[in-house]
Amino acid sequence: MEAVLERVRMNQKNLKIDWRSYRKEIIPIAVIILCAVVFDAWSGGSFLTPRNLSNLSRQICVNLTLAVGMTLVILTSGIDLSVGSVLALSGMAAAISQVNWHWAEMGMTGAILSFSLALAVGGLTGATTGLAISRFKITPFIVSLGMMVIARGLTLIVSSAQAVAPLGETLGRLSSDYMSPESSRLLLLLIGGGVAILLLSQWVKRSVPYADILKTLLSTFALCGGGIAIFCNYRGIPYMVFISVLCALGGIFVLKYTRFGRFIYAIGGNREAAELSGVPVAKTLWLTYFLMGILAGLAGVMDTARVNGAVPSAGELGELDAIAAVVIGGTSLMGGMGTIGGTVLGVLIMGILNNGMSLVGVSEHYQKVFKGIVIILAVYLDLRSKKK
Amino acid sequence: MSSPLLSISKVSKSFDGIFALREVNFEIFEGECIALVGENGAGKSTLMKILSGVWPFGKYAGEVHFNGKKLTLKSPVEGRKSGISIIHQELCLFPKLSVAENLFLTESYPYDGAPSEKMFERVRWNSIYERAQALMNDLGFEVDARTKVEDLSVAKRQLVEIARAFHHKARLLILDEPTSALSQMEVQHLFQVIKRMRRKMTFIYISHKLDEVFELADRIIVLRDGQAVKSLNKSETNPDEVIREMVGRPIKLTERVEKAIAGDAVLSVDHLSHIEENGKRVLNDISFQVKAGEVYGVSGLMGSGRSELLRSILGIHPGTRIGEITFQGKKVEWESLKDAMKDKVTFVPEDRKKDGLFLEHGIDFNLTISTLEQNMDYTGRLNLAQEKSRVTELIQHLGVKCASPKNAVKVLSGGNQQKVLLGKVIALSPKVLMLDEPTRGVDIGAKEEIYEIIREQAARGMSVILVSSELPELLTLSDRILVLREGKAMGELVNHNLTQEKIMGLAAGGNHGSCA
Repeated sequence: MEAVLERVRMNQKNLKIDWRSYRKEIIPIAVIILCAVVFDAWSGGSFLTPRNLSNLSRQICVNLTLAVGMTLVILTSGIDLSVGSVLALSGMAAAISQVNWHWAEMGMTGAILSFSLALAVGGLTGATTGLAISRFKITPFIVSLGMMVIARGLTLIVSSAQAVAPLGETLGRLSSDYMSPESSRLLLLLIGGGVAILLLSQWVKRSVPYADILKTLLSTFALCGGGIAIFCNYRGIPYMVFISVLCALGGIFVLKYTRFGRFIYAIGGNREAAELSGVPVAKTLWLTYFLMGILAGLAGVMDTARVNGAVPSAGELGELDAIAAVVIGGTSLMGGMGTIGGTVLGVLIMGILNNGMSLVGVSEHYQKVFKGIVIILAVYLDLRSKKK
Repeated sequence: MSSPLLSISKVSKSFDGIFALREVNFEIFEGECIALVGENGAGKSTLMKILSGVWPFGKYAGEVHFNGKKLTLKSPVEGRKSGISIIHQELCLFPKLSVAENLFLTESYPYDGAPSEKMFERVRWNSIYERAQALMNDLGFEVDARTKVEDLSVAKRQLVEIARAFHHKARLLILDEPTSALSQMEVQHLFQVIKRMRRKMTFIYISHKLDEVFELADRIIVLRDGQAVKSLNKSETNPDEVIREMVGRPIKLTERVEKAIAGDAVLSVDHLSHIEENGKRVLNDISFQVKAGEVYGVSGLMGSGRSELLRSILGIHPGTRIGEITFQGKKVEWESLKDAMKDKVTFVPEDRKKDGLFLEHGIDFNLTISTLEQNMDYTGRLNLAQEKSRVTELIQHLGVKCASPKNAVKVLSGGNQQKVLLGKVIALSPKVLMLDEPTRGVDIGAKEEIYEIIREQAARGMSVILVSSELPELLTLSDRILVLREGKAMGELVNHNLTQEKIMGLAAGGNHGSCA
């Protein structure tokens, strides 16, 4: 009898949502909504328009791509300061191949080749950083600091410190083109419907806690619904957004459903224990920095496409924006704890602040000061919530 | 009788509705030596945190009076000034600083004058060293005040902590499991120190080891499930009664069943020596063989090389190894646990918090991290549902007490943490399991359960190499016992009519008369 009662009690507990345990998600979402409302009122209604929000989504793509990789790196309790410079170097490589090597004339083939070149350059730097960290056991901070300067120097050398522009039309379309509104709507509806069916089956099987299902369902509906409201009323989904969201989804999958993802958490959680649990620590670390490099390369080609050319100063302080987004998203700098979902929220907050402040005419200098304050505040709030 | 030095009345403390302490009452008088015993999770550490100010006044219910005054600590800093000092299992010293600096960390001594705590007072090094040495000499501690703490043995470091507590005018000194890292001889020395210091201080001694408790204490206070259930005078009680009160039920200490071990050696070690990077020879020409289903015990005092033996075989001890290791007829050269685990040889390290567990992560995460490939489908994707059912199965099998498999490991008691650690390696179905101190800091009830898991695995044909500093543990579990002294094998004893004295005789060598 008592066992039965206990079961009933447990089930009731499962149905009841412990809001406090979702503080990590609720606070940033509340901040996002608050910022959106404030900026909209302040700018006289020009913030919450499909056009502005669509632009905002394109502005945050580069940072989202970097921040996904940075989340993995920080989860291993490492850091990669070189991503801003690697972004510049790989973007510059793509631009040089388009302009100086005339790959632009090769149309689609040329665009794909330049795109791949950027990823290769990013991957190569990432692999080097990773090798120094995993094999030679030099601290990530120092290695990536060195790589930051090296990559910036290389960028200046190969470009002779000049801007390289304009790109071929095909590569430029990576940034300027949109999926048609009709197919965007179809895609988002399919995703939303698919997720809903999947969750329904899980709910029937009761294999996943009720609260988790609700959380996934709400966030999917919010994203798909928001996507339809924004993109279908303004040109459709930008390809850049599509690519960077794919990166984020890939990151979520890797962390949750692969050994590699588990190993990342293990290394960040307790390096000694990971070693003694048979985790291939060196290999995992190398792969993490390699992936970070490839993502920085991708961000580089996106950034280059966005401004239709490469400047040697591209991506300056890009690493800080990415780290800030990761930290605001609740990932611990000590490693081991955090999610890509949080990082996405962090990227959104940073993006809204940038876009909103520009929209209402706050000068760029003040924006910097304000962003700095937000970062420190976010970490402080996170610390306080952990202590309780 | 005079008024008590410390009186605790109706102290309660709860976390999220679960009581860690429930109306605890007891009194301690000046000059007494009290042993505080109880299983892990009985509330000992919560009580210590209240007395030291980690849980400030107002965060708990009830009252504590110390030295006739109500204790209203706001922080651990205030706690230290109140006259109550605690020496934790993990010592709180600065390893890179000298003994003297550790003693007088916040004070400087002008040549002539009282100790000063001014921010910019000039530090007079000679005077600091002199005073520190004088303090050590007064207390009869053979410690040089100029040595760095990291160069001292654990036992000497404890003396430094005791001296520091004395220097801070502590009237009540609480020792939390002080002997867990000490050799038998060092334990005896510590006991002499405590007995001598009793004239100057009152002691609370927290320990799992009942023989120590009975040697030192006048009175034994038993905590169980957050309540002080009994206060027993040593002269009127016996270990069995104390154990009964601790666990709340009579406990059977299982007898060892002798069993026949036959067959070929699974793992054999031939002429193994190990030289550390600084040239120290930690292992010297050790040979032994372990058979399937055998529990092979390794005994030795602190520094005898017992942990180093396991780590050297596994290839994770720094330095150079000489000699041959043969596993299932093949010569092997493991360089990491990853290599060894490919051959299904696993290891449970001694320090579970530092080397074993992912404390912030869930029980499920910890249990499956070494065996993730078992839950992968053909695409390499982890099957979370399958993983979950395996975790549930393991938790039941091991008897881990938890509300949910997602609970962070750090909230579990020591015994349950140790079970998780064992479960992680058992999930691999290993052929050889190497255990380094598998029940350190684990209470008696959980100890028995862990022994049962080890016996069960051995019965299935797994070989176990068991390193332990606790002789009763070795005697109940092992089929044979290898005794090490200073890196050399002193003998291999078949566990038949074996006694603690015989092992100790080999382990301690010529000195064994003084400490056995």
